[in-house]
Amino acid sequence: MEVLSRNFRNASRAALLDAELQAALARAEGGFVDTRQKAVDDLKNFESFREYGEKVKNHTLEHLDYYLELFEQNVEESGGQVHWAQNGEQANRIILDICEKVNARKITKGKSMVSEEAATNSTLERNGYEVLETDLGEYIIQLAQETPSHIIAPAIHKSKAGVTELFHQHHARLGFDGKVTVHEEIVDQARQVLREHFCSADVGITGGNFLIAETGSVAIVTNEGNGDLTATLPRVHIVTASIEKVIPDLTALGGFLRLLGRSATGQTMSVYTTLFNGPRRENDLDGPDEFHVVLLDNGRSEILNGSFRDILRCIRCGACLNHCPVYTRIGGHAYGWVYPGPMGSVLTPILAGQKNAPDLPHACTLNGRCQTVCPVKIPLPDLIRTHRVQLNRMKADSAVGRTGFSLWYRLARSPGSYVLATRVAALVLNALDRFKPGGARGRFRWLPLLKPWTASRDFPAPGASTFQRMWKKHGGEP
Amino acid sequence: MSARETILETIRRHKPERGSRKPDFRIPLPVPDFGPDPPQDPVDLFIHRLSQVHATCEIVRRWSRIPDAVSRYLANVRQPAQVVASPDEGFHRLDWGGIAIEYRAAAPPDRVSVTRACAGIAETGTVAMVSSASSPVTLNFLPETHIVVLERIRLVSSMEQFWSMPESPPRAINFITGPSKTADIEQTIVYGAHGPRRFHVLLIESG
Repeated sequence: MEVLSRNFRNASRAALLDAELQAALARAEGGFVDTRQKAVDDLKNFESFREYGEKVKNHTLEHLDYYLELFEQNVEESGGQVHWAQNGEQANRIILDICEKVNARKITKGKSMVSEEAATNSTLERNGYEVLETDLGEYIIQLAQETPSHIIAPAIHKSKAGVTELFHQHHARLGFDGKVTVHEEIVDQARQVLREHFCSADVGITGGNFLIAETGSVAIVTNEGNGDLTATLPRVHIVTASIEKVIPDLTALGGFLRLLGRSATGQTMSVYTTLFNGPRRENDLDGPDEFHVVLLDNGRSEILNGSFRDILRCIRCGACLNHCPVYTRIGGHAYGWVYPGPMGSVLTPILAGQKNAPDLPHACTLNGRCQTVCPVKIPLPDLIRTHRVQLNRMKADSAVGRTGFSLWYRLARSPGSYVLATRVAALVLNALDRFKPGGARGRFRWLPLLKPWTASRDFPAPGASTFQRMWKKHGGEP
Repeated sequence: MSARETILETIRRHKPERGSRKPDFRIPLPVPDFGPDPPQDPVDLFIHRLSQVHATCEIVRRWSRIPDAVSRYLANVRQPAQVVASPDEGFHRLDWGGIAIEYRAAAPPDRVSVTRACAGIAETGTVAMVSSASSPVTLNFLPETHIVVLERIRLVSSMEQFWSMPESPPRAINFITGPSKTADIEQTIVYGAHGPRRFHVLLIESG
């Protein structure tokens, strides 16, 4: 997927003025937060599971080579094949080769963020394949020719009315006259349309939530059942997953499943959790003839080295998005690449290049809610701050900000000048307040250089004395 | 160098200690604690969890009473007494009376399926379906109404207890927790997205 993160400022401004998007975001925010909290409270020791998740992921990352090789060996033992791809291009090449070999024409897809990274759909389409997303949200945005705006609720930015029109536009030629306006009718129409495709597809591509090294299983977690139909009905099942998805064993899976459903959608357990092990067995009555796993690196092995290693624990639950005051105001598209919100602000600059996404780490208030809800305890605000430091060193952040902060830095490091400067500023502002021609005393409606502040609120006028002076005067007693 | 070798080599370069020997993995899984609120008897907890996920459950005394329970349920939800069932020895033995039954994998027009669970998990109200020649996967996903038969002795308290059950790895293990659903349109939950709209468990008390 093309990286459009440089346009973050304009895109986020436009998002704030987009009434349909704002209505959609307002609808979503409370729901996610409340249902998660209820599900977390349901398990009294959720906190100890978070610690478990953190430790197991750290352990696996320390021995990533071992677990990946073990996973590969066990997939092969159950009759499947493992392919390794350093980048999206290689992954797409592997997928194209498989499709070509089995004379595929139609491909159904379950949700996979990794395939968004690799832009798999457009590559397959360019090569003449018919590609159909089958997760309802993904299907909607595929029809609308958009990209996901949330990692687990890709069409969160769409209104029901918008979907009604979209379906009418695309489904009328399939014999669906009239517009569907009720939720149930909309879902049912998608069910009917996609049912046909499920049954006539040659290849099914899905993502993978967890790769279990001990057994060579791929675990896929969904609610709709589309992932399972995609993996079961076609002749070939291809899994695309990034290398950090591997976990040691089934016990670890039990730990992560207790975290994932609760953090993502507030469910004790998602409706469908399936473990796939190789192709259909000799006497099986259904299932694919071939089972492939494409392991994508795309920069992750390099993240192991250095300050952003913790982000590799991410299990893609979306809780940090749902709890982020920036994401919940601007939605996902403004971030300009596959991953939005706090985890996206950390991951996008690493995978797409810091210079291509210089504003993302700055679109953060460092309030820390994301870290509090993260099921694997990723210190997201620290990682975002690290990006800021590195951007600053590269001189890739805003020039005004850089000059301002370096002045502030110099001032704050010299207590004498700091005291003097604040005293002068207080005196000047206080005098200005008393002698200004109009407006209420005690606040300014306008000040030079402070327009971004005063555009939306008044600037409080300081008293004649400073805090430090008063502190001294009262002998250090408050 | 192949992509595989390049990736593994990069990972190894960034390892604190070199070498790919078997790591010592001893991180104990916390025991789930729900506090005093939900019922802790496995049957009660299982039924409580099913009700939370929009699934239904009926306790059936004996295996031989399954056809009767299926009939009543289908009449209740106004579905035809025509089912496709997994080719399971236990189902073959039953007298299905007025129910038209076929034993095979599911096809798109099938409306009702009857399958046999390998295990039930009380903690989450989940059934575990293990694929085999006598347990095709499509029965769990294609029909609109899915009836699962689960024997009481196969109900375990957590997923971890299920792992210790003896099984050679099948192609697929489907953990199913309620009917298919989606909230992709304006966060409104709609049941029957791609899989079954109705999910009914028959809990069999004794053989």
